[in-house]
Amino acid sequence: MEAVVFKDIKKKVGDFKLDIPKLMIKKGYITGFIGENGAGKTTTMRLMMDMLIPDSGEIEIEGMNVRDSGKEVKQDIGFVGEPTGFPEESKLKDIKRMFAPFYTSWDEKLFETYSKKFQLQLTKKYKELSTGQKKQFDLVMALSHRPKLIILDEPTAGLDPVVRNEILDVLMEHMQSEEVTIFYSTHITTDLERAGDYIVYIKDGKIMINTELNVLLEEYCIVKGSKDLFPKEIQKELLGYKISKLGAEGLVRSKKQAEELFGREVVYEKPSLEEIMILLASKEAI
Amino acid sequence: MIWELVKKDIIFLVASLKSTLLSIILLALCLPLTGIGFGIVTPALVCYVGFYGVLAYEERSKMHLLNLALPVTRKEICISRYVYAIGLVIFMTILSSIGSILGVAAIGKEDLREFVLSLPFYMILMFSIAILYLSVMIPCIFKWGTIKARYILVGIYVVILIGSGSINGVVATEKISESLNRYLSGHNMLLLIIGALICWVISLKISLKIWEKKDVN
Repeated sequence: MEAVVFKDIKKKVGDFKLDIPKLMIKKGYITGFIGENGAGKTTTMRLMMDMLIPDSGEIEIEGMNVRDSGKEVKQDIGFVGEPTGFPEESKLKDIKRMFAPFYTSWDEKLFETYSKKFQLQLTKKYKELSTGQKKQFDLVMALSHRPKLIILDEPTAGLDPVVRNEILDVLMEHMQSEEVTIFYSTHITTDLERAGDYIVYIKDGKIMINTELNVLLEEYCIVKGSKDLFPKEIQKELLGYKISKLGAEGLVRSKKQAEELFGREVVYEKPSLEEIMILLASKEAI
Repeated sequence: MIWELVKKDIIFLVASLKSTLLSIILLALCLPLTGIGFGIVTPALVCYVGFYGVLAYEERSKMHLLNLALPVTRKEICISRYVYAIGLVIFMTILSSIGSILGVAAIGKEDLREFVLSLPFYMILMFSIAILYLSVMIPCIFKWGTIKARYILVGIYVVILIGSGSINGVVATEKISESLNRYLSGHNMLLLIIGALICWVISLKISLKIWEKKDVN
C-alpha cells in the first residue's frame, strides 16, 4: 500500500491552480518534495492536512480518505508546517500540555529523550528559542507520538549547517527505529541528496517528476555546447535549458536521448540535484 | 476530543495570556461598579476580549492551522469554541454579578436587598445578552477570520455600550427596585433565555456549515 495517494486533485487558490491527477508517496521511504517558490508545495501539504479543501478529487492517507476520516488519519501524522503555529508566549512545557493529550500514542519518554538530545529547556517560552531550536522543538512534538507519516514543510529552511545536520540525523534515526514515511519539502538539495529516496518535483501546480532519486541522478543528463546546437526544435525536446551569448546547457531525461539529439557535438555531464532543479525551472534563451 | 480542545484553550489562556485573563477578570468585577446598565452588558463586553482576543492571537500566530493538524474533526473544533465561549460567559456572569452587588451596595442598604432578591433575573439578563452577542460574533469569526470580522464586531460592541449607557440613564432617574420590578419579570426572563439559547443553537449550526467548507490559510 502507498502511504499517500492523490486522485484527480484540483484546487484553485486565487490565480494559482493546483492540478495533480495522480501522485503516490511510497510507504517506508523518504520522499523529497521540491519546486520553486509558489510552485504549490505548501498548498499540496495543506490539502493533505485538510487545511485546504480540494475543488475536486480526493487524497488517501494509509488507505483512508482525508476528508472523511481526518481524525483517524491525523493520529498517525506528525506535521511540521511553515509556520508551525505554536504560540510564541507559551512555555514549551505548556505547549506540550496543550497538544500531547490529543494523541493516543504519545510517548512521554521519547519526548524527553529528544528534548534532551536537542538540549531544549522546557521552561523557556517558544519566542525565546532561536530559529534552530524552534525547528527542533517542532520536530520533537511531531515525532513524540510515533507517527507513521511525517510531513515537513521546509524543516531546515533558514538553519545553519550544524543544526540542519542534527535535524536530519534525528529524522534518519527515527526512520531506522520506526517504520515511517517521510514527505518533506525543501529548497536545500544537498539535504535531499543526503536523505531522500524519492523526488517529486512540482512546477506551476503540476507534478513534473516523480521518481527515485538514484534514477534521477544516474539517468538524467546535462548537455553543454554552443547555442547554435539548441534551435527551437531541439529546445522542445529538453526538460529545461539555458541559452546565453556564451553557450547553452540543457537537461535531458537520458543520455541515450541526448546522444540522439546532439551526437558528439556537446559535452555530457551527470547533474547534481541542484543543477536539475535550476534547469527544470528554466526555459530561457537570451 | 471536544473537551481536550476546550482544555487546550483554557491552558493557553491561563498559562500564556495571563495579562488578558487578569484584565477581563478585573473588568468583569469593576465595570458593573459604574452602573446597573454597564453591569448588564459586562459579560458581553469582557467575553469579547476573552473570546475574540484569544482567537485573534491564535490567528496571528497561525495556531488556527495547527488546530487543523490535530487529530480532531472540524465539527469538534467548531463545537469546542462554543463550549469554551459559554463557559466564559458563565464565569463572567458570576464575576459581573459580584461586581454589580458591590456597585449597588455602595448606593444603599435598601437597594441592595431588593437587588439581591432580583439577582437571578439579573444574571439571566446578563447571560442572555452575552449569549446573543456571541451568537453573532462566532459565525462572523468563522466566516471572515478575526481581522475582517472586527469591523462588524466593533460596531455591535459600540451599540451595546450605547445601549447600556441608556439603561444607566433610565435607572438613574428612579429607584433601582422600581426598574428591576418593571423589567425583570419571570415571564420576560424565561422568554429571553429561551430566545438566547435558540439563537445560540442557530449560531452553532451556521458556524458548522461555514467551517466544514472553509479553506484555512
